[in-house]
Amino acid sequence: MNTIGEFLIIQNLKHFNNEINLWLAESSDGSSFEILTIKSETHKKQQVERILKNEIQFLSKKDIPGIQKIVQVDFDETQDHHFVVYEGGSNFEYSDELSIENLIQVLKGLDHLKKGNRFGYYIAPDALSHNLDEARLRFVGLYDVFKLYNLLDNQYLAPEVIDGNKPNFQSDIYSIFNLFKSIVEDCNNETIESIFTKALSKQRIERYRNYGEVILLLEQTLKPIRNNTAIKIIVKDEYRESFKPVLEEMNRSCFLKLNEQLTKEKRQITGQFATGNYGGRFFVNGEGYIFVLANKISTPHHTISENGFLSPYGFSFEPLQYMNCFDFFKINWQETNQLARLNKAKSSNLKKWQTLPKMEREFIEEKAFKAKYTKCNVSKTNNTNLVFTLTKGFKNWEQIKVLKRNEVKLIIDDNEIGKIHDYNQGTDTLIIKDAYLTIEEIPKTGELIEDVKIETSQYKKQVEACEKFVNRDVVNPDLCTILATPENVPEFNHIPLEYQDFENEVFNPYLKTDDTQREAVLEALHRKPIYLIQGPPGTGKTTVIVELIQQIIKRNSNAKILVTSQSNLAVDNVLERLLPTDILFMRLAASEDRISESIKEHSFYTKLSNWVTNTQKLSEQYLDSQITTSKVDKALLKFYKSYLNVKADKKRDFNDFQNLLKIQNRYVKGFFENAKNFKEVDKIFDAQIQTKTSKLQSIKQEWFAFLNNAQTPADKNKKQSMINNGSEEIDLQTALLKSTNVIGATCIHIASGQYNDIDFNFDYVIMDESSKATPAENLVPINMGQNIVLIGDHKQLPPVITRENAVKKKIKIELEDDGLDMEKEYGESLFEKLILEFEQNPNLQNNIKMLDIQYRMPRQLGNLISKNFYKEKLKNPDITILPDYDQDKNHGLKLSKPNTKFIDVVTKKEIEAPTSVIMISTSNAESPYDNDNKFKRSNNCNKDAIKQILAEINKQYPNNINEEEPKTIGVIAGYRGQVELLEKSIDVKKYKNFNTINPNGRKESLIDINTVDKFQGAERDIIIYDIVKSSKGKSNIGFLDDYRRINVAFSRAKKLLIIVGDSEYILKRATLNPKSKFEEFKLKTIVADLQQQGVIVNQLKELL
Amino acid sequence: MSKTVEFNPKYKNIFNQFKDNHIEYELTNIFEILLPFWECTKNIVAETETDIDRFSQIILQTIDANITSHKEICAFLGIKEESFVTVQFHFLIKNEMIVESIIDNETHYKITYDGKAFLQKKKKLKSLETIPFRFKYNDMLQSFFNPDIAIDQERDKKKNLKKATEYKLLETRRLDYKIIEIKHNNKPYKINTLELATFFNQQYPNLSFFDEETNKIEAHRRSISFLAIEYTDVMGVKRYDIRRHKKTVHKFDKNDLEENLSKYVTGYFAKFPL
Repeated sequence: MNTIGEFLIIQNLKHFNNEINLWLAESSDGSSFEILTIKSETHKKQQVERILKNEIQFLSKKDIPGIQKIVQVDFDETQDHHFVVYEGGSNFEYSDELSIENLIQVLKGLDHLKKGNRFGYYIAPDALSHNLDEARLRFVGLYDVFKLYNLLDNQYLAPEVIDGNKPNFQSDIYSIFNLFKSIVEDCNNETIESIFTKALSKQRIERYRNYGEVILLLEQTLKPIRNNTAIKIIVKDEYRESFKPVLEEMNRSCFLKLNEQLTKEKRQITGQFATGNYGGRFFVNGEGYIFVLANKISTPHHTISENGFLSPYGFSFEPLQYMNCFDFFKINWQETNQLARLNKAKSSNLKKWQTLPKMEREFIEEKAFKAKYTKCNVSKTNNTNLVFTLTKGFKNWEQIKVLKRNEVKLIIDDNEIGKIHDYNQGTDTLIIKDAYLTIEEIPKTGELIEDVKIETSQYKKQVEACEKFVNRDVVNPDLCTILATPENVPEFNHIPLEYQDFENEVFNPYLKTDDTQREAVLEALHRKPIYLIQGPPGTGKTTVIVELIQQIIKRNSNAKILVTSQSNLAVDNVLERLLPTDILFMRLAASEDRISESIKEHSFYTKLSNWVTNTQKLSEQYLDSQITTSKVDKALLKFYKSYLNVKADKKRDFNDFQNLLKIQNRYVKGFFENAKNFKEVDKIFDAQIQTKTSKLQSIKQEWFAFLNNAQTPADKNKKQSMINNGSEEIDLQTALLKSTNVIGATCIHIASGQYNDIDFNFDYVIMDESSKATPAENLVPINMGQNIVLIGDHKQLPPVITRENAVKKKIKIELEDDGLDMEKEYGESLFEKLILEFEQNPNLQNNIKMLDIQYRMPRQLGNLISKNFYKEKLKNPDITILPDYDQDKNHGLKLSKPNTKFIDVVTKKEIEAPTSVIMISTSNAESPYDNDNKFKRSNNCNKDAIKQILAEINKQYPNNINEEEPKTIGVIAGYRGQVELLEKSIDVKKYKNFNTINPNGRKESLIDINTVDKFQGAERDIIIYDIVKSSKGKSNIGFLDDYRRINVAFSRAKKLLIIVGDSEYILKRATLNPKSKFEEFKLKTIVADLQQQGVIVNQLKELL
Repeated sequence: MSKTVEFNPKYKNIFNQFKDNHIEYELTNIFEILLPFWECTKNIVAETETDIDRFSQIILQTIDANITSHKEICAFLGIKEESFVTVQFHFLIKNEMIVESIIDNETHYKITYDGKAFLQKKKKLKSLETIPFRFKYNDMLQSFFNPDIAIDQERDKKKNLKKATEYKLLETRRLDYKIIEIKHNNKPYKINTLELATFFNQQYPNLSFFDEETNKIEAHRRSISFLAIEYTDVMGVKRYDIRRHKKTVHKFDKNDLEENLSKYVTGYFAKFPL
């Protein structure tokens, strides 16, 4: 065997038998793994499949100390083998040199599994690998497979298992101690001997009752650190006694971690320590001892042992000899600071990313209602109500009225207090109904604040994501380094890829003729853990995402993929394209309203209820098909179903049955006329209907009841329907979610609290429109993924930093404190920052790709976009491959200048293509100028021109609505003020040839008017772009200098772009703001080109 | 009446009631005192015994009704053969309620003796579940504490002591009034497993303690407001009686003495005088 799944076999590590083998293997990026392959004979295949699915799959990707990590479980169809991929470890092997520490490590792993109801393992020498520091057990969950193939080693099995019983955790205790028996043979330690004796008791019941007990006993046998010298420790006298157990553990094993900062006044070194059970803080005194805050001992924090160092010394209150530990801590502190300096760049980035959501949150909190109170009493009429007396002169009663109406909760010091019941302006009092706190718990004076937790939750999630990222508390910590400091990433993952072979592997045939799309998919599969795809307009981003998903699942049928974006629409766009494929997906959203119609049936809420309905339907059909009785018997059967319902309903009795009988036909009545109770009725049914059928009817009824309770949340009286795989019991909704390959959700919603019970650990996170998300928004899903694929286009609109000026001010202050400049720092998205850094770093250049063929725009427009915005790298499709391209992109207007000549960006030669970009210049109009109102800029002249254009177009497309695909029009204005003017003055429904009837039967226009921000991600056949800005004299072009806006606006057009504006102004009087961050005046270049191409006219009519 | 007491006229009745309680001691002060308690949460792994679940029962009944192949059972239930709910078959096999066999490339199931016993509810299923165990802890006496039961009850041999006193636990961090308090000194970060197991089993009679999930324990400071009555002897030695008052319990009856707390507070103030 040379390959299995996507892995290359290197060598055989263990040949169990002809069916089962353990291999050393390599993935395409050169990482090594151990793979167990199982070739099943037909009769065993289903059993193996079931065991792997239920025992192994749930352990996949989980880090359990003492257990070898499972990376993947799958079936290779070509090789006809099941396989389990384990994390590699070349320095791990089995030897006799085992230690108590090794035993404890493995027992802790088994303890962890047992607490999740998992036990009964294959335990033998080949299931254990270890090196000096670590031991781990492999093949967990495969006991039944080894049993199926007669591979169990009796030497290590517990006596009761040899006798034919199933192993339980006490059998595992026996086996594991048996495996570690060599320890006891040469330890000469009575305690250890007695522990082993008990663990190896012949009778199961005599062994340890849980792992915790035996682990503790073994830990106590570990020798404490014995040094001649110890660190002197001081605690307050009153805590000395209670501190003794902590000290005892500190002497067994103690991790130390020093803080970067010295204390403010005394400039002391401070740090934290962690033992097995305790954690705390200490100060290093200049006199050479440490002072421990013994009253603040807590449980150990995992970061101390992960990032700290093990103390080489013991600790004592009064050591016989004690070392002056000051120098020891000073050296370690200096090292800590060196590390801190290295991380400074990383921290500064994160601080910046975090600032935005933090300030948005603060702004909302500051804006929230607040009222100081001077007194708080229990209401005399109702002792659960509290009466707050507000400060004299409180005026904001109007807001209180609104809060009361909206039933908004109020809080005090972050604690919910309740809703407003009433208020009295005369006495300055406010009554809180059924207060959540007691009067003693409420400060005598304080502030009542509006609860804005829901409004701030998305920002909170972003800040949390940043914090997790800093602490590397994410699914793939390697990503933290790459994303925060891409400039420092060393060479990694440079592997040759088989581009040519891949051409035959793609699902979508269109990819065969598009090199960059195909390469992007192949590279995203292999250039892990991060890959960036720049997708200019119309280059097939969604096609690439869909192909990538299909390819991932082809390689790992159990892969978990998150499709995410900042917008719901972008998520749905991908999922809609998955519909025709067989890929299982589920859409998660805060509300159904946010999901596209076609996707709704796959939503978290609807998918299960659809499944239930369908299951019941199929079950019903099956049972009906099994009954081959006559028509009259069918009537009896129908009556039987109704009878079961009466019987199941506790509120109904035999009278109800008799009433039901009255309305049956004579044939049915005949059977039951003399029946006196349910028992007699049952007898008659059993006699008349086949017993099996009646039994099945009753089981089916129970099954349907189970299904109907699938979505009912559990309460005291009702139990929600659950399923159980032998280890965990979960509700059907979660089970269904866990069984799907692809989950679609916005980057914020995926962190919603409603999924807290689900440990999201995605093999791939694919994020569309990444360039539109702020870095903190990006981090939320990134933290959940093993591998990340970011798709975006930094040449289109950047993220919206904030719409609130107050927030901007806050961010500015916060960043300036750290010497950072807001404009500079937030001018680029994380995507842009990464792509620019990746381009610069030769080690990362292979991890980016720009899709370079656009399929949306006609060739003249495509060429214009490429030349001005994509450094001529974006290409039009090759018309020898797509000969109908021009025809497909034809707008249908009969122009007097049907073709236009331009220099092709690829060949650099002059070519001719159908005219698809024209400009209607208002320069010759009486007053082409805008209103010069910088807060609400509008232009009447342009508005009139657009009205004329729409009227003319309406005339030119008389049969539009009858066409198979009627033309759509988007009117985009550069300024909000102009959009308002256009919306007010243009009644889009007046253009009858663009009116259609929507699925709800309502009249709808195919003409949209909006700002460019609302059009990103959308497309229209015809785009009319209104420049708006024009002045008599010279002036700055304003924010139209941001070429990304122009790019997005123009590239929305599928067939025709009409630019409306004062061409003379753009060419002669408009200037770039000298302070602008954009160096080129792209709009001017474009207008100049159009002038040269002869497509600028005063009125559309002139061209027709 | 001593000078100190005179300053607190609201305690006049208390003074009269308790002034002669201790021979050779004079009642010298009455004040409100906050004593330290903890509100804790610890995840406990506990063993449960339950009847088999509804879905298992449905599958077992179906097999019992002679529909024995995986294919046919799934068809009867209206589910696909590889549906996400078929994990339940594994559960039944793992718990030895059914055995599988392959006949003509098809999986067939047979109910075992145990399976029948489960179906007839003659046998119960044992499993582990993790429970977030919330409990209160007495900082001074370093013992578990049920606020529904009088603090001295467990050690009091007389059984006629009232049960439902329900102590009022206040969040220490939010108590802003300056009254005498004894600091929290004994955070229960490591509790004796045997004591924990006993208390847990008392609180959850249907569950049986198996193990602690991890070492982690969440502990928040709480306080109960008591009345401290100070007595002084001729040598100046002080002793304190800790009694309930209105702020201590929800249903106030009378100023019961909390003997164990009194002993502790007396010892504490002897070491760290007021």
